This record gives sequence, C-alpha cells and structure tokens, in this order.
Amino acid sequence: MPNIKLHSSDGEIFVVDVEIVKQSVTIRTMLEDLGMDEDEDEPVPLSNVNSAILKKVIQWCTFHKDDPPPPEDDENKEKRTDDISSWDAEFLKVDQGTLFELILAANYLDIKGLLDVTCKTVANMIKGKSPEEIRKTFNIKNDFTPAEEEQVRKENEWCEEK
Amino acid sequence: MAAGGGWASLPSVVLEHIFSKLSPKDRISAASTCHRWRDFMFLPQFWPVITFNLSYKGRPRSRFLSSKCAKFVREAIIEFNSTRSSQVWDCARLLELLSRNGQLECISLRPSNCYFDEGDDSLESFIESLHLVVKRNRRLLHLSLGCTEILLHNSQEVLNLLIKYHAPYLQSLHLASVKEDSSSYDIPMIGLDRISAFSNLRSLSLDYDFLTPKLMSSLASRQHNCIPLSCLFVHVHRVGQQQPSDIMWKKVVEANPTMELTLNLVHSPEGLQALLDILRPSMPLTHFRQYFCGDISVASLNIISRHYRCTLRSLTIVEAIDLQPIIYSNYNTEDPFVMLAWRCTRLESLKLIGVSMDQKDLVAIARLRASLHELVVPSCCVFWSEEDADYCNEDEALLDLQFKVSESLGRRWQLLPKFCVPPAVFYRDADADNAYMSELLEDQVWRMIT
Repeated sequence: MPNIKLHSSDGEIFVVDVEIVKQSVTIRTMLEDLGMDEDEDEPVPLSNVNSAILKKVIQWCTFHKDDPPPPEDDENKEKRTDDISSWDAEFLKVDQGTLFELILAANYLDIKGLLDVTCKTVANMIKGKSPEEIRKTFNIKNDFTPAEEEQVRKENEWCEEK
Repeated sequence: MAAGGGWASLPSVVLEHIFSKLSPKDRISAASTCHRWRDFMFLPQFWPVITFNLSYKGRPRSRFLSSKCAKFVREAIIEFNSTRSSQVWDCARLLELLSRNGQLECISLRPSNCYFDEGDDSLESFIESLHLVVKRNRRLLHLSLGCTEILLHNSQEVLNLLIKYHAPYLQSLHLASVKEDSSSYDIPMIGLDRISAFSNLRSLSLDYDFLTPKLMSSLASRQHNCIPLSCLFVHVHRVGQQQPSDIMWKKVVEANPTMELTLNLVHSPEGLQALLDILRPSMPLTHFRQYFCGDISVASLNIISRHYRCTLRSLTIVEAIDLQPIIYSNYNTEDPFVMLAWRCTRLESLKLIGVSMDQKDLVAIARLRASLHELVVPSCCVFWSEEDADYCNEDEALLDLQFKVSESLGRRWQLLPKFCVPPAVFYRDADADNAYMSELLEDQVWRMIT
C-alpha cells in the first residue's frame, strides 16, 4: 500500500497509508495541487497540527478508514447528538485542551466525520446548562457589561417566543 | 494555543456546527455566554419562519428580530393593526428590509381588518415596499394579502411583477378578500385571467367575482407542464346574473383532479339567495362556510348533502342572533343537518352558531357521524320541544344532552359557552371581523403541497 509522509508543526514525521489520510480533504487537495505522486519522498507539511494531535487524528482515521463517505448535510441529521459510537466516545475521553485541539485539527484538515463527532461531544457538554455553567465548563470570559446582560435577557425572551 | 483557553474564539465554521446540534433552548443559553458566541444564534437555519407582530406589545421583539434576521428569513408573517397608520408605516419599513433579503420565499400579510386607515401616505409607502419585496427576491413561492380589500385593489402591479419574476416558482397565491361593504364595492381590473402564467401554482384564493368564464377556462386548460391546482378558495360577496356552469366546473376538475374547493360566503345575502345556482354538482366542494348572511338555505343544505357527500369535510355557519337564533322551516322529514351528518362520509367538522337546533337533532348528528372532530353549537341555540320537556331545570337538560353527545362521540363534549361565541353574533356594533378572520386567514397559510 502506498505511503505518505506527514510533517507535524513540531517537526515529527509520520508515515501513513495514503488511503487512510485521504479522509482529510485538505491533504487530498494538497496532494493533487502539489502534483505529488503517492510514492514521493517529500513529506506533506501540516503547520497547524502538532505531533500529539496528529497522532490522535491518524489513530481516528485508521479506525474509520473503511467508513462509507459521510452523507450530504441533511437538515435533520444535524440535530442528533446521541449517536456517538462507543469507540469514538472512548477515543474522545480526553482533557478539554486535547478536545479543543482535535476540533481545530479536524476543521483544518477538513475531516467531516471527526469534526462531526467532536462537535457533538461539545454540544453534549453544553446541553442543559445555564450560561454561567457553560462559561465555567469552557473557561469563557463573560464580556457583557451589566447593561448588556439585561439586554441579553430581554432578547432571549423574544427568541423564546414562537 | 493555551489548553482550553480559546473556546470563545473557535473558528466560525466550527461554532456554526456546534450550534446546529443544540436545541433552541440550549442555543439561547450558549449564545448568552459571550459576545462572540451570541452571533451564532442568528444563523438562517435557526430561523426559517418568523412572525413579526407590529402591535405596541410586539414591536420591540419585531424590531429586534428584523434587525437580526430580516436579511435571511425564508418565510415572514407580518401581523399588524391596519387601522393604525403607525403600524402600517412600520410594516412598510419591514417590507423594505425584507426586499433586501433576496431569498425570501413566503410572505403572508396579516392585517387585523379588511381595510386600512387612510389618513396619510402610509398605504402608498406600504404598497411601494410590497412591490420591492416581489421585485427583489429571487424565488417567491407564496404570497398572501391577508383578505385586505384595499390591497386587492392595488394588486395589478403586484400581479405584473409576480408574472414577470416568479411565474415558474409561485405555488401559493391568496387574493381572496373581505369587503368593507359587501353590498356595494368595485371589482378591480387586475388581469387575474393571466393566472395561467403560473405553471407551479397549487393553491389559489380569490373572490367569486373573478370566476368569469375566461378565468374558469384558464383553470381548465392548464398546460401539460403545469402542476394541477390542489386547493381553490373562493370568497362570495355579491353575485352576478350568470354563474359558472356545471360543464365549466367539470372541465376545471378534469384538468385539476385532486382539487379541493372551499366556498366562503362572507356577509353575503346575495350569495345565499343565489346559492342553488352557485352550487354545481361537479364542484369538488370540500369546505362550506357562511358568515352573517342573514339566513340559512335549507334547500342548499340538502343539495350540499346530496351532491358533495363524498367530498365535504366541513360546514360552518355563523349568523347573528337578533332576538333568537335563526329558526328554519324544514319541509322534509329529516333535519338538513342530520342529513349532512348522515350522508357526508368525510365530514369532520360541523359548526352551527346562530341557528336554532333541536337537541334531538344534535344527538342524532353525534350518533350518525361519531367521527366528527368538531361539533360546535352554542348552548343558547339549543331548544327542547314541548314533548321533551321532562327535565326539572335547564341545567339538567343541558348536562343530559352533553352526556348523550359525549357518549356517541367517544370523548368529552360540551356546548359552546356564551363567552366563546364571537361578540358580533349578539351585538350589531361589535367588530364582525374577529368572528371569521382567523378561519379565513388559516386558508391562506403557506403549506408545502407535493
């Protein structure tokens, strides 16, 4: 099976089966754009992904390499968050920082399945929480002034109405 | 990047993804955490349809939502008091905002009354803005003028624009109106015969005045590449000398085989008098409603139960109670409403307000058509004939009647209490609009018809 070399932002090189990394639209496009032959020795530079995260991404892609291509964005499909497979759930039992980096990597590398499951995980962490609880969970700074908070409260009432 | 430090600054694409997986309630909570996340509450996919209520109470919400969402909302419903020029101005401004949208598909105007306050130029501005909405949006699927007579009068240009820009797309067009004075009004020349230009039209409402032979012929000769009409709603006010013939209706039904017809007589004594001629056997009459026509036509009711036994799904009568409900003479052995219940196998709803009902007939109706979803009769319209007067008091009689009917219908049923009856039924000076506007406007709601 032809291999490809991936070069992480912190200088590590990963040798991976090219079929596995083709789940990343970004890498696929890079290969086509750079006119790279699958056997080229030249590593693909991924300046936005460090080695720890790249390792995890490769692990995910390897497990999911035989997955059918994800369906086109369907209005109804988007809403479900309770259908994360047990393997993915285990895979995503990581600290928040890693989860955060994984999302960024999935976005940068354009791996739809990984982005989908990581976003679902985040959505599940938001569900049922009050704004203050959400802020605590994700370490988000409340940048509303008291006056703005009052405005937000009013606007929320309006949004809740049909 | 610091661990966990940048959640507030996730890329927009990612935040959009996350927000789309949240319920509306959770979305609101998440959007209340910080400025950046707040923006993601106002994405087009979360606001497919918005009702803008321009009343004094609803204005702050409408202003807020229009500033955030008018530029992308697909379906807009605008409720306003048309007798208040300030609200008409507000509506004009909102329409102008919506004209810059580009992807608006459905627009439903919901004025509170059939006329506008004509104090100033607010109407002119309103109409100009409405033209802009039609001109600048790419693919209008639905337009409803909310039964407004004055808008119908000003609709020729709207029709011109619809034909010019939206002929292949428009699916639902609602021009049927309620007249300020149904005994005397002008029929505007708006060129409605050009309706054949709309090849995708599935739902149409118009005044009976427009059912000329030319228009009937237009409806009957829809081209091969046209979608057949599914719903036709007709408002009857004044009635001319000639009515569309049965052959005309037959041809219309041939070209539009699944079409359902709704006939609404609104303040139409003429309609009631001519009803025997208006009702043609080939009409696919599905809903019949009469409001404040002054009387009921037993002959017509018998015709209805005979000709439309397979199509009729609802019958509504709302009449004023002068000193007493309408007492009708019945020359047949069976009560016309009982006949309706018996013959019309698809009847789901029977609403009889202002008509004097023998309690025996109510019981019979419930027994014959136990599948009725709605049986609405006010308690003040029910009477007991001499031989049935063996109750101690009125309350006991009413309770017994309710019990019998409930038993037949298989659910808890009661007579309509007086406070639920529209005031115009009892008081001549009360605004009659609220007795029928919501039902008529329900006909004009956007519905996807495949």
